[in-house]
Amino acid sequence: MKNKGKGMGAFLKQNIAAFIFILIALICFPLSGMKLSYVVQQVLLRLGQNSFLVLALIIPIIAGMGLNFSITVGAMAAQIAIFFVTDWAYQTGNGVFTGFTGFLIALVMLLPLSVLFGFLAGKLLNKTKGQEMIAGMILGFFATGIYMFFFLIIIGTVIHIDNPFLIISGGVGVKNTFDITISSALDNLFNRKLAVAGPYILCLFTLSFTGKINRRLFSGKKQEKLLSRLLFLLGALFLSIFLFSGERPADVMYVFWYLGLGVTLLSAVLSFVRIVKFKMEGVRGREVVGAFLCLAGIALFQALEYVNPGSKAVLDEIKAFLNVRVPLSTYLAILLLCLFNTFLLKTKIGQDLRTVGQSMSVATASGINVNRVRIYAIVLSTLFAGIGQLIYLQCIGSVQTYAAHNNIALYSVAALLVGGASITKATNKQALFGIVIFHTILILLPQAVGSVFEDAQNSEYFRAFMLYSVICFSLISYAVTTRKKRRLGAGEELSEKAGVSEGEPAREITSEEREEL
Amino acid sequence: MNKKKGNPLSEIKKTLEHIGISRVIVVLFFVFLLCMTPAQEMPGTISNVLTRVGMHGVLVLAMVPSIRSGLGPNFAVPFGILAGLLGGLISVEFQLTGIGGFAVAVLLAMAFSLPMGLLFGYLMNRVKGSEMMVATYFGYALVSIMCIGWLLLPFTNNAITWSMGKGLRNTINLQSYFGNALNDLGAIKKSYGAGEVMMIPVWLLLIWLIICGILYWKLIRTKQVDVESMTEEELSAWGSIQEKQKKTGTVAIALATVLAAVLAFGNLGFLKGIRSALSIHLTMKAGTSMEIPTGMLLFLILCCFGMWLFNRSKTGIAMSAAGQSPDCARAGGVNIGRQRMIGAVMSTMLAAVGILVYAQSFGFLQLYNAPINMCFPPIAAILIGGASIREAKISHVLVGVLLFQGILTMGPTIAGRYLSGLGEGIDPTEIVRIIITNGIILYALTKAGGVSDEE
Repeated sequence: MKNKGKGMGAFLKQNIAAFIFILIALICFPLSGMKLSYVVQQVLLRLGQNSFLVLALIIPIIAGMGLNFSITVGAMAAQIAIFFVTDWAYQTGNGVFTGFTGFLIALVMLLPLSVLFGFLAGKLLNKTKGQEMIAGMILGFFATGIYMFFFLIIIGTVIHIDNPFLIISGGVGVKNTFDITISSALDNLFNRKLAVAGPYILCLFTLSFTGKINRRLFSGKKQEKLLSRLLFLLGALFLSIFLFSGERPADVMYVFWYLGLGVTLLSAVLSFVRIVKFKMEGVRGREVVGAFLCLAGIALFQALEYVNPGSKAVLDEIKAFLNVRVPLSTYLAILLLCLFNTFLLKTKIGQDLRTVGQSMSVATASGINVNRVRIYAIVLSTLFAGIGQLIYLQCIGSVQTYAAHNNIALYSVAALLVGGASITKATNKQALFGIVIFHTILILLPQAVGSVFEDAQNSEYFRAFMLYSVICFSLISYAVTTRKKRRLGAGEELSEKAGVSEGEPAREITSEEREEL
Repeated sequence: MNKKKGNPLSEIKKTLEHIGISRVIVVLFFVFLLCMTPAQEMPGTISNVLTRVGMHGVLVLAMVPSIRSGLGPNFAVPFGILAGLLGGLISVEFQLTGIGGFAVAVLLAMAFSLPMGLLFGYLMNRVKGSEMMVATYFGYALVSIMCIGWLLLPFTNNAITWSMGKGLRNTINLQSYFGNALNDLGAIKKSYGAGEVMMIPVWLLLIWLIICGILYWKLIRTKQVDVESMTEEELSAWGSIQEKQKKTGTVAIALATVLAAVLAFGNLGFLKGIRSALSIHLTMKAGTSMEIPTGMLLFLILCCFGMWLFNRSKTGIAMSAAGQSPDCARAGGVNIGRQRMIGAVMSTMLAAVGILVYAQSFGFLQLYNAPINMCFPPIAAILIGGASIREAKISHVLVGVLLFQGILTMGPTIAGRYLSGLGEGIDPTEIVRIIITNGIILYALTKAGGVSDEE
């Protein structure tokens, strides 16, 4: 028990930034007077929109290149691809260039472009070692100039495109905004309302958590791995069959739904047995808490389906909540990227990335081509950022030709940092959690500030301040800790100190925010 | 004498490399624009360029102390600008006008910027190694929190506050306060009627430049010698010869300059003939006028001179030592943190003064988000002038601001003249500005980044 208490303390300490932002969100919610269903819908939407972009930042962080502000370049590649796909769609009138096929064509176009851009960015960042972040930021601005040159002057003078939907009436330059033909292509591919998707996702999480807890039950048996995963696979299978059986599945299909639920409950019961039998040893607290919360969530969803409150307003609210669309296909893409990030770190390249991130001199000494590894990191990051921007734009439905990419890096970086990541350490979980909490605040803040100060202008400035100060303080804490390390003069102790440095940024944020607010 | 003589071509190549390819491109672009400018618009262009040089000069100068003290270009200029804006606002609040109002604004700005500079310096000393990134976001964060500040500050003058609602105006017209106070101080205004002839001694200028160039190349330039193959005596002899040559060169250049100035401005007897022969004669259209903001330029030169003196003072030398080779400086007993602090304070102060000079010429104080990207043009200007991230001189400021602002001034007119086929609202100079500004900063970063890593 002592051990657990200590763990909780460290857990709190490490994630204090995240807790503060949760607190801000909780304070903002009642102040803003917004409906829960609206907030949930917006957050789920933005989770789909932005996750890819934020997850794209992780690999360069692991490679020790800091926050990759040059993901803007990847976003530009996506916009170029989308522009041409849209143009072809208008020119040919061919259905291939619309909807999901159009999305795939844009994706194929994007690949070489973003790899090329990423390669060039990587080359540049290799020349500015130690100053990657500022170089990446300036590179984003510089690339914006070239991008504008391409879209405003090259198109129309060198590349002739005769398309009144896209080109300014003079014949030179692309319009400020244009509607794309692949809007919601990925989101519409497969989505379900929250009443179905919510329990589905929660069940999968429950199965995953309880599966980890249950592993002890099967230890020592012959097929330990398979046995411990059996329930997860079974549950996922049943639930997915139900999910894929259509928007309004036949009554027979509900059998699978209840089977899946049953498997989940079975797994939970097994976990209970295991905890009673073996006590808490080898169980991580967050797994238990996570499983418990997920089960509670499932119960809540079931209860909401059948609850009948007195007033009509509440009923409407519940209905609206349950009918929120969840873009599961986009989430699947995000899940794949998370898995890729995890998988990559287990391969040779991933190990090289980590070594380079810890110390370039050690990496060179152990025969790693540092420059090449760093270029890999940036190329991957740029590629994912490109795909991320593609997903973002298909969700928005139109492209602001000269502005869509401008704040991408800023918002993604801020979201990642809000999730508790630092400049030297970031995980998938931090990224996803960061997006949820950051965008919740972004949604709530304008209304909340507006209601307190009775002035809508304030919220804009508050938001800007939040964005910049989050980034500023993690930069400061990073610089302070690296300097301390340098003073200690021990390159080998880098990894050990990483844990200590985690708590620092958070504390500084709190004190500063108290001061400024 | 086994002194090796370098191949002149390879020497030129070396010099080019020393100047930097991106700078060469910028200079060529400047010359190109200059050649494209129609002769009749010359007076207007010259006065525009000079005005903009004066406007931006002090902001560019703000980069010098921060670069010299080792902080790198001051990306937190917006932070210093806040102090300047505050000073200007208070001066307007008390309805001070003319040069007195400007002086009060400058003094107040300096007073505000002192503690702010100390704060900035303290921060910079804690984040050694990533000064630029931290400074950028520090500036951003404070500008955005100050946006809320502008909404809450208790100013009462109607020129500052909205007549209805809370907060200060976005732009504050300085026309009836200290607008143009410096510009009009001893300004030279000249307007030409139709058919009047103006002489610009271009050929004279060209001859002067060529002579100076040759003298520099032959005499002043530090030549490459094969040091290892020389005996000590030869080496010392070579050193004294070079010293002598340098002196002769400097004197010759000074003489040439005086001569050129006499020829260019002398209006006496036979000199007039020479002047006329070496000039381009422009026939003016009606309504052409030329205005030289003497006061503002003098203020800039004064600031530069002050900075130049400071750089030669004991503190200035210690500061540049702390910036260029911290380890040597520390061994020599220089308190590095203190020098960096001085650099940060001076830079913040100059930024605060710089925005006031800018604003009085521009005619408006711009609040809210206006300062947020003010740091990039001055940084680009000083880098174009030849500075690096670790080294900056006054000459870099003047050359850089002239080239950069020259391009930005001449660009739009020429683009408007020759690129009429573009769509409405497209300003190719904006694109050029973005590319040049960020390109030159990137170039400077690639030149400096590797070094800091090796350390």
